[in-house]
Amino acid sequence: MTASMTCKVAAHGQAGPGIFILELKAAALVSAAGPGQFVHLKTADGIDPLWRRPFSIHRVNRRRGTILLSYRRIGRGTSLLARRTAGDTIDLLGPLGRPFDLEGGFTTAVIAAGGLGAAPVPFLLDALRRKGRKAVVLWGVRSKTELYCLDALRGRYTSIHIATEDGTEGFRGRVTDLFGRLASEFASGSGFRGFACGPMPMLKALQPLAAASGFPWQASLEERMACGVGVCQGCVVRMKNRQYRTVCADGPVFDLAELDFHD
Amino acid sequence: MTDLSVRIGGLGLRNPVLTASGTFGYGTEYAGYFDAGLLGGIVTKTVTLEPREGNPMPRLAETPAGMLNSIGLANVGIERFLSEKLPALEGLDTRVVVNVAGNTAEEYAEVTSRAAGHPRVDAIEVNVSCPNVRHGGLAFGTNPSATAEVTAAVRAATSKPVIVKLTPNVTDIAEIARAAEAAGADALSLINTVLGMAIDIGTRRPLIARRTAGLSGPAIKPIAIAKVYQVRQAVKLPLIGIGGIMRWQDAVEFLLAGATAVQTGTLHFLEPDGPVRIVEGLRRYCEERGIASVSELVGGMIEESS
Ligand SMILES: Cc1cc2nc3c(=O)[nH]c(=O)nc-3n(C[C@H](O)[C@H](O)[C@H](O)COP(=O)(O)OP(=O)(O)OC[C@H]3O[C@@H](n4cnc5c(N)ncnc54)[C@H](O)[C@@H]3O)c2cc1C
Ligand SMILES: Cc1cc2nc3c(=O)[nH]c(=O)nc-3n(C[C@H](O)[C@H](O)[C@H](O)COP(=O)(O)O)c2cc1C
Ligand code: FES
Repeated sequence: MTASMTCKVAAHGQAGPGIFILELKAAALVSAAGPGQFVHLKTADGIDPLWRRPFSIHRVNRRRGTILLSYRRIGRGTSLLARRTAGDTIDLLGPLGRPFDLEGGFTTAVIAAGGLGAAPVPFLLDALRRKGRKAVVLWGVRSKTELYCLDALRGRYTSIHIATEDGTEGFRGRVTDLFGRLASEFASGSGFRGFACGPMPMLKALQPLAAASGFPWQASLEERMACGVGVCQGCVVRMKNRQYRTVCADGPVFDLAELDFHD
Repeated sequence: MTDLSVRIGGLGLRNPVLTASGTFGYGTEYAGYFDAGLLGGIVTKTVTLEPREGNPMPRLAETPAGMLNSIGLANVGIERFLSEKLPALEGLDTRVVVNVAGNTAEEYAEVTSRAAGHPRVDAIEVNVSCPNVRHGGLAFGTNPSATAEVTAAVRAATSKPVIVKLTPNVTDIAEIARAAEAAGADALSLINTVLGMAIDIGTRRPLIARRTAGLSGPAIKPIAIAKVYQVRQAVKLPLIGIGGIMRWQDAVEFLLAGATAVQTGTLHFLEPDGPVRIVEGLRRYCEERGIASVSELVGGMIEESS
């Protein structure tokens, strides 16, 4: 069940240029949330900005009874959020949306993330490790200073490949280029499952590569959101069958092959 | 103890707070957040004869103290509404108002008779005021004779209370209100969204795919208050005030302007349980002032200057 609750900020700090990690006391969410789900936060005390702001659950800390969010400060809402300090309270709805599907037979997860799209990846990796699954993470950013959560990605069963657009770390180029280069490693097709999270243009570019990969891909989407719970019908995405689905309630995780990016 | 109950055209409400169409889904989406039984009633998303996919994206934009929406009456259609959505409301202890629309007066009547035929439905709200569709909606609500035609068709299709929902996007709202009254409406609700638009100066593109959209939220509250006040002078029907209600103080303002009840809309996106807090606030306001019945506030604005 989802709920609205007031959470205390347990910790809050900068993790990169304009990138922050916010830890919230939310014991009820720790067991309820799955990787890929998000929370809808009130960033203002009043009505500026009017809407809540959605953020993926970056990680949960069972021992501390907390959830972690990671975000980039880009506008009014995230600027207000960045001012909150330990002990402050934040109003939150969640967990919202459908998580990644980790059921069924696969041995290795192939995870493609673009920029802050990496936000839900540590939580996803934790869940995969608990299930004894291996993971290959491909993360593309503009420049190496944006690799804000590398430590949270590292761990058992996990290999990490980095792409930077400016070539300051790893492969020079985009994450889709990187996947193209590594595709032969996954050529056998069997035993793999793909997970993609990042901006729409990245997902769009990835779609044909994913289709050629021979294994199924799930993608986590972002859209402007008002309600966050499937009520307003404002955050829809078109599917190949021409129907609209809400990103907030039917997603944010969809079968990448079913998405129609040509709308 | 203050009596919070009110009557809207033969429909008794536990209290004067309802949820506005399109901002509360089909009544169950917010079930985990609070008990809708604490409200006077809920109004469903607009239902049409056929299912509608709605408008292209983007459909939403945030604006100062408000928001633009261009959903375009996306809904499951009357068939699935009756078979899937209404049964889920069976156990809900509150009034259920079904909001209807169509391309023609006949379609309005058909959706009405099918919806109102269901025992769970307490009243019909007629949407002649949606700015986000080409046919129906605003095309009816901006013209007195078209408003009368739709109202009369719906009136003939049910004996349950008929509430006509008015648009502010007209020169003289009183004229439209009188037309709906003469055609047999039991009550009027107002306002639907205000036609609005916004442009991204970086990309030079409209923020909404369909360009114009409906403005809601605190930005439109003074417009809505003025419309309620104007319509109050023009008709005898009970009014339901809508537009930018965020706090109980706003609800009191609508009652003083002449509304018998109110609907909350955009509020739910910020605070899903906001309508319940408004009921509580209304109760406190009345109790602290020794007001025996909330209906004493209706039209209670003092006009003469002292
Ligand atoms: C399901 C979901 C999960 C998300 N998870 C995260 C996360 O974990 N970390 C994170 O940093 N962000 C995440 N986002 C995006 C985040 O919600 C936005 O960055 C935030 O709403 C911006 O608010 P603001 O008030 O600071 O910016 P605004 O003032 O609203 O916008 C500033 C500028 O950024 C643009 N913008 C706003 N939202 C987005 C967006 N979603 N994508 C691209 N550009 C945008 C606006 O068009 C505008 O130009 C997520 C979004 C969704 C839908
Ligand atoms: C996302 C959204 C969808 C809406 N959909 C409908 C609708 O289907 N039918 C209708 O009559 N009004 C619809 N409305 C209008 C509201 O019911 C209400 O009249 C308007 O939002 C003003 O109230 P508010 O400022 O409290 O939101 C919608 C409003 C919003 C914001
Ligand atoms: S944001 Fe309202 S339906 Fe998704």
